[in-house]
Amino acid sequence: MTHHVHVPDASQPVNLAAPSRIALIVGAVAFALFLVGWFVNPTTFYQAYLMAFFFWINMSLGCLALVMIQHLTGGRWGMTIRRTAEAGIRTLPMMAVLFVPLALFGVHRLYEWADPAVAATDHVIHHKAPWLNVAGFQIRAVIYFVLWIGAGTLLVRASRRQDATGDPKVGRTYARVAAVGGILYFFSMTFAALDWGMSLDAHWFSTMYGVIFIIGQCLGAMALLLFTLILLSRHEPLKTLFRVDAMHDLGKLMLAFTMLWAYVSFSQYLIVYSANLKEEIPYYIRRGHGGWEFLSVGLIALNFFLPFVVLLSRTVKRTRSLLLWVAALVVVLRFLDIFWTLAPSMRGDSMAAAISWMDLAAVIAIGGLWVAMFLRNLSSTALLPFRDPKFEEAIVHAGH
Amino acid sequence: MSLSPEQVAEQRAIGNDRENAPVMAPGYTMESVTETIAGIPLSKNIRMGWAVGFLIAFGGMNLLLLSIVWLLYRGVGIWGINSPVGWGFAIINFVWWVGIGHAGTLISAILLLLRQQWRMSINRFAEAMTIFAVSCAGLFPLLHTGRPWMAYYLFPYPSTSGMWPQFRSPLVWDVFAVSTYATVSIVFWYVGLVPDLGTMRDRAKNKLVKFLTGMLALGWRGSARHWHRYEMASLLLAGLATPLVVSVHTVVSYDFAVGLIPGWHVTLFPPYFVAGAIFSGFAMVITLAIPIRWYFGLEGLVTLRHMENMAKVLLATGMCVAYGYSMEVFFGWYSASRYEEYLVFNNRMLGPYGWSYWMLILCNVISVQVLWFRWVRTNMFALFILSIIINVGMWLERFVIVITSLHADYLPSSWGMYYPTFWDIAMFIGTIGFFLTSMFLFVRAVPMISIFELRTLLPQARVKEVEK
Repeated sequence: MTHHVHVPDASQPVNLAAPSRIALIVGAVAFALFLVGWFVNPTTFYQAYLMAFFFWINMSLGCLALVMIQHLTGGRWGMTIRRTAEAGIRTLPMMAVLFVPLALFGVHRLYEWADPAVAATDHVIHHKAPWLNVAGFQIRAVIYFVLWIGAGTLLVRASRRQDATGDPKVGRTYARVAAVGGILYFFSMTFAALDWGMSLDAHWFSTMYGVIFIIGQCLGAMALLLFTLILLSRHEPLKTLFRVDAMHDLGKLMLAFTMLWAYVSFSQYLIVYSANLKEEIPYYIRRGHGGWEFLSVGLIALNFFLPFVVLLSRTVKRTRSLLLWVAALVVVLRFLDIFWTLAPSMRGDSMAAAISWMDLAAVIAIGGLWVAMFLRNLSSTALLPFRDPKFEEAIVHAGH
Repeated sequence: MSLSPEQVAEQRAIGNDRENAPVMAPGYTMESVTETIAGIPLSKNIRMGWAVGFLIAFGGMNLLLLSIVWLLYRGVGIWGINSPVGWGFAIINFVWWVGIGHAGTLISAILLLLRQQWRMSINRFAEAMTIFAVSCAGLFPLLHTGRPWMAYYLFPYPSTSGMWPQFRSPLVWDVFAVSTYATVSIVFWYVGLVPDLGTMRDRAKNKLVKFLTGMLALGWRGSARHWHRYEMASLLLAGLATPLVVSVHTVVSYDFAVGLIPGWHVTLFPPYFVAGAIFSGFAMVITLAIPIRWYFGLEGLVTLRHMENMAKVLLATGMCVAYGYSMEVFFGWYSASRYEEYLVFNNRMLGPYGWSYWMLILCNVISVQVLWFRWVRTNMFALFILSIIINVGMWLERFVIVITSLHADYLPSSWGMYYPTFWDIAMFIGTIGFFLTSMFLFVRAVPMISIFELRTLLPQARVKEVEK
């Protein structure tokens, strides 16, 4: 088959060994430094660990969610991000291993319900004890990871088969795994968010909590994938094949997720605020005093208004150098959201006293490992699903 | 050149192909697409089936008029509402109708932005359905005020008495949300109609029809500049309408969630209401589309591909509402609040209205699972029955939310039962009559499928890459 335009070969993997090694070294050094924190204050250590873990597993699970969404809805954008997102999914086994310290040791330092003395005296925690207990926490974590890694593995394996054989039936496998896996992911992530995050305030509850996490995951993963693709598009094959139109579409989706995140976060706030019930309102009272109010306002301004206004611009969405910065900003600001959600529940009323050097060390430590793994995965397959039946139409001829 | 009966039969057969239906059956030309669609409103013949259906619907609409007159004469006391259940059928029906409207906006705005071509043959009548459904919805809160002639009090205006609405009440937000939604929906629908009204004007033989469509076509000439502006306007309106799909039912959910009643104060309500609205809206589109495509022989244009896609949307949104129900049950227990727990288990599931809760689960969660099978998604009889079951289920969902929560809240001494009266039911049936009457008139009066958009799907409309 001849092409009228020069199309680079998309089937060859790109070698990313060098950046992967740098990430690994940075991660290892930060990890060594972070481990010192355990001797300084083990509770702060596990708190920082939880937040960093949450930040990075949100990226892995966001990749899983985006891949499943695009298998169910179709569309050109999915073709562009699929392989890159799959590299993110393949970090899940590593994240499962990184969860072990939290499940075995961190749980006793992080959650008040894990203390049998508290559960015996506090009647609310006593009521919730069938769910909030250490064994249940551990068993459920195993179930969550089995479901996520299972769904991810089936999707990645289908892609391998597609790359090797070009079998058109892979499309059906994708759709089936995504339909069933999507439902399981939605429920399991809801309960994971409850177990790991919401139960830090054992008295507090909100049915929206899981949805806020799920949408935050999609937003974070979308920004990270955009960032990666724009960087990779400095070289072939993405230099030619990651077209401006495709980037524009991904930018629009990032805008949509930004708006959705703001929508669900605001709705939760409005409903809790207006009811002003004693079992719910402390969550927001705490985040409105002691310095946290600045973080709350900052979150609204930086996580919603700034990306929202900037991403409305067509020029920004179509200019690589500009969109790269917006995507980077959204990725970094995801941590602000995690910190705002979790830190006040763990560290009390004063924000100034709640910030620790360990938070930064932990994010870089787990992040170094995550990025190293991600880049290694990315180098092991082609960057685009070059044998997908719709590849020619969606990628090669797009914009013609 | 119009199609021969054999060609029509062949295209219907292709559109009904259960394995591999295309977005549009092959063999259509620019001319025959126009002929098939514009021929329905421009034909002089009144078909028997249409006339009978119209008369039945018109009877229902008269029941509505009668109910309104009696209501205005006697007051809201003719309804079953009282203390403690002050929101009866009126609010249930309001939420049900507003929800149904959502599918039209979703199809025309969000699917346009997502470049889903299959939307083109269903968007016009889905939008019409939206407008009629929102009209039905608007009636209920208006009449529920008891003195609808004073309803302008809900708008903020500098009155001499210096009285302003309570801006912190979601009921006032509703006034803005629903009226904005109705306005944008009508403008969107009308703008989409303009090119087709131009076509009708050019083809009409009757002087009066020519004059009316000519007026409504706003001087449409089909020039490149007109098309350019038209495309811009559509995109802008789609951008405006997209947040409205979410915002309207979000504000409706605030009507409940901002209150303090157990079972209403749920933070998940906004997205869960929106998903439920889209669920019920698509069910109604399917309920209408199946008989219409069969009766008017449009299976080559509204093919099984469309029906199957809509069935998949039903399944997805059905799972979203199932998620909502599960969260209500789980957090009813997890909240450790005796009121929430009592509401979910003792009241909703086992209370005097328990039948409605279990019927709702049967209709909206269990029955929807059959959509996992392609056989059901492409079987029009099964899909039609299922779509009606979902319509019923979504009505029951609002019944459960409104009635069970209100009839037994915090204070057992003020608990009480709610029973609808004849006039509650008459008014509800009346709005269905009004809705169907409008739909019957719509399919006879204007092209129910967008002619020019379907023409862009034809192979002739595609710009081919020049081979070098």
